[in-house]
Amino acid sequence: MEIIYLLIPLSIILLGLIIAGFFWAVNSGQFDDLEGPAYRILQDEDELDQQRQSDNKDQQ
Amino acid sequence: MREFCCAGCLAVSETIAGSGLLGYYRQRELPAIKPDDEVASRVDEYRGFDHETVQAGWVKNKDDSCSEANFLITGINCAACVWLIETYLAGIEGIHSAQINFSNNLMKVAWDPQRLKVSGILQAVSRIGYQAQPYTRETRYRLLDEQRGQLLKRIGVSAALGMQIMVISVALYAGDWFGIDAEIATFLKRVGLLLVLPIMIYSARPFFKGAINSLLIGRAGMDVPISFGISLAFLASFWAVVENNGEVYFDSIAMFLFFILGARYIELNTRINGSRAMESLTAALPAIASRLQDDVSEKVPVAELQPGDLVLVNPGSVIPVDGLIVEGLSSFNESLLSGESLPVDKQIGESVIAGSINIGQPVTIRVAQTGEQTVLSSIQQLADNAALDKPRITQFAESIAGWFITAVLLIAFISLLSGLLGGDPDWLSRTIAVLVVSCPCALSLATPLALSAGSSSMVASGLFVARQHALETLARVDHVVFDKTGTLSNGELSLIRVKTLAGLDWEECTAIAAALESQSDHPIARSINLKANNISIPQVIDIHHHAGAGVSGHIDKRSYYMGSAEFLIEQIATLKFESAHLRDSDQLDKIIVFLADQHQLLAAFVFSDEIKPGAFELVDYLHRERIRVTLLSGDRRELVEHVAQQLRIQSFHAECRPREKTEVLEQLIQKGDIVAMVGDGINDAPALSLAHLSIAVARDINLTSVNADMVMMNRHIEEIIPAIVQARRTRRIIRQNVVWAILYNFTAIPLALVGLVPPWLAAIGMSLSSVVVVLNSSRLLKLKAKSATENN
Repeated sequence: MEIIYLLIPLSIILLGLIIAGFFWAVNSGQFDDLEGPAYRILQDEDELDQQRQSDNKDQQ
Repeated sequence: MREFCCAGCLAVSETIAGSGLLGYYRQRELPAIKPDDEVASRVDEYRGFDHETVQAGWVKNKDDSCSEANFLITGINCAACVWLIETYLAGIEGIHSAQINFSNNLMKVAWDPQRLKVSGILQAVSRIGYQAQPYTRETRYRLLDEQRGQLLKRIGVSAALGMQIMVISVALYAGDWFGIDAEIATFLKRVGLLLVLPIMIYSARPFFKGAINSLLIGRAGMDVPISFGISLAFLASFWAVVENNGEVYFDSIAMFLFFILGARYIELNTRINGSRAMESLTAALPAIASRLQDDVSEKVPVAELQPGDLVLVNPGSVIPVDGLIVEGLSSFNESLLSGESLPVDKQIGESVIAGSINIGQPVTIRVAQTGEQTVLSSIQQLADNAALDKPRITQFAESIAGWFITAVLLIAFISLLSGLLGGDPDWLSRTIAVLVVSCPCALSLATPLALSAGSSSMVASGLFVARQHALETLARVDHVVFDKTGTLSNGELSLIRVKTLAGLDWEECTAIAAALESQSDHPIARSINLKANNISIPQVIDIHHHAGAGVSGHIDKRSYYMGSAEFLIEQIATLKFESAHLRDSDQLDKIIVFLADQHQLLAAFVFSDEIKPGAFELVDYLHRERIRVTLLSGDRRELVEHVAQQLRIQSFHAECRPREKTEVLEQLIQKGDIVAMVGDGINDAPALSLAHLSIAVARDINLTSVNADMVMMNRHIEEIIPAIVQARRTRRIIRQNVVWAILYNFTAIPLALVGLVPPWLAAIGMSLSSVVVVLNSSRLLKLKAKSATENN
């Protein structure tokens, strides 16, 4: 079981990195809008392009 | 091609279609808000924002080709709006990026100042039917936002470390059962201590602070037992690690803090979103004014205006300050202040009030009062003060939390004491179990969680809950008081009939009328122009506005006059009126305007302020639910009676001054009714704040809203029906939550007291009781999804 003397400190270091990453994410505003992104994924640019393509076809 | 109700909607739709963004119409969940002609035509005012002095506060110039600023967007009502605006702006030359935060409607734009001006951005947004305004008051909310980020970090720390502590705890518990090397157990406990330290120091800080504060003022707040519990658990565990003997409670501490921080987060979030949405409604006054100096007009920030300055106000603009007219005469829409939807005419020497809209011709005003001294802000302050006097409707959980906590502390102390005196070896773990298991977490979550779920589900129907008590109160309301103007009616005149009187057909008459009114922004003119949308309008010269009475002009060398009967008689002495012309068959709420040439009457235009279709539905529903309905209006007696009859409302008061409105409300409240007041003019503010529940029907921008408990973001008054239904559901869920939480606490505490619950089980029980409350409350959100699909 001596391996835990290595693994646990390692996991604590990993934990520190995770928390640092989380702090960075909060500070850079990634948690400011918790509603919008849920919709954003459904409204990507594909639809716009299709629309424009069909517009172009109409014109041709 | 679809039909459009007005030129504004048509233009918006054409822009959207022209940019290949028709996807918006497929994705939107709510019809768009009708663009406001008055605001849309404020191009001049937009230009004012291009001046560098004006941009000083809020535009950040990163480098030569990139500036950044925040804009507050009004008119967003679903995610498709966000998509539309972002995609449309992204396609505009000069814009690097535009991003909207859906939860607070703030848009962050980065653009190239060489190629695009601020006014260009504002105009672009208004072209697709929304309004953008520079967001200059960021500092006010930065603090709250910082608080939110900080809380989120505390939660993150307690969650991440807590997870790790849990791993260690499981190992230790397993060790208790199956045996564990003493050396490894010691190591694990030390690691636990190391991991819990950041939680104690960082995550738990607000509780310690709160506990100290509430002890200093001599009250037992919820922070006291929380701090007491975790301190005791920590100190005991710390001692156990140092002495290498005894139990550790690190897992209990971490879990406990994680859940309780989560509850705080939910609460804070609701509060921030609340004040944000309120703010978008209050940004009524323009930021720019044209100051006249030596006959040269110059755009300056309104904040720089001094009493005595001369200010030029163009038609369609909002008056930025209180002042006296020194040149010109015009009509003003003072609906924001008086709730009166018809414009008021003013001439030289008369005073105008900040917040009213000039809808006639350019006028010059001399500034009398600015900023805080204006009538507008004094009324706002009045309303604020009234709001403080409001009888506080105490929440059930809050009212019992105080003595509950005191009792828990007392019980814990007794068990501590009896354990010590009785020589019980488990006294410490028992006391900690009592403190942890009795955490009023579920109880404190029960109300705010259900309320926030309930209110967020209501936003979908355009109702915004501004004060937490609103939902609770709405569920109990048994008397609804309406303010007629603009609440039950459309609040604007529409042309309902053209009666021709001299052989010309209605199209010709409408064309002439539209030509005469083509330069006016009066509601009557707008309504006529709308009707004449597809008719070719003749050229007109020498248009002359006779303030408040009518308009005259020449078409093909013939003179035409349009206005009230009195005006026409004054202008053309020979004109004959038959009494039948003067009255429309079922008049009362109608306004008649006549058109004449030099010799005879040509037509009569009948205008009316129609009752919203939703009003009938709403009043019917209220009657069915045995909720009393009263109509309280400042309008003429006949008019109010007429509306009341149509809607089958028995109780009504007409010609009410604001003071009388408050008196009527006071009587109702004394009678013991739970009164909800639905109003929209700022003159209702005192009455609104007196009622148990105030619902403000927001016009595009409305100040009363600041003070209302609920705000209707659209004008579909029938949305109050699902709101009442949802409020009652929310109340039911709150009751279930509270009953559950109390049951849990009252069974768990005695069990812990007799030593049947070890601290780890106490922590699990506490968490589970909270989870039950969370799940139960989330049922309110599911109802939202259901009702949303029903609407489609």
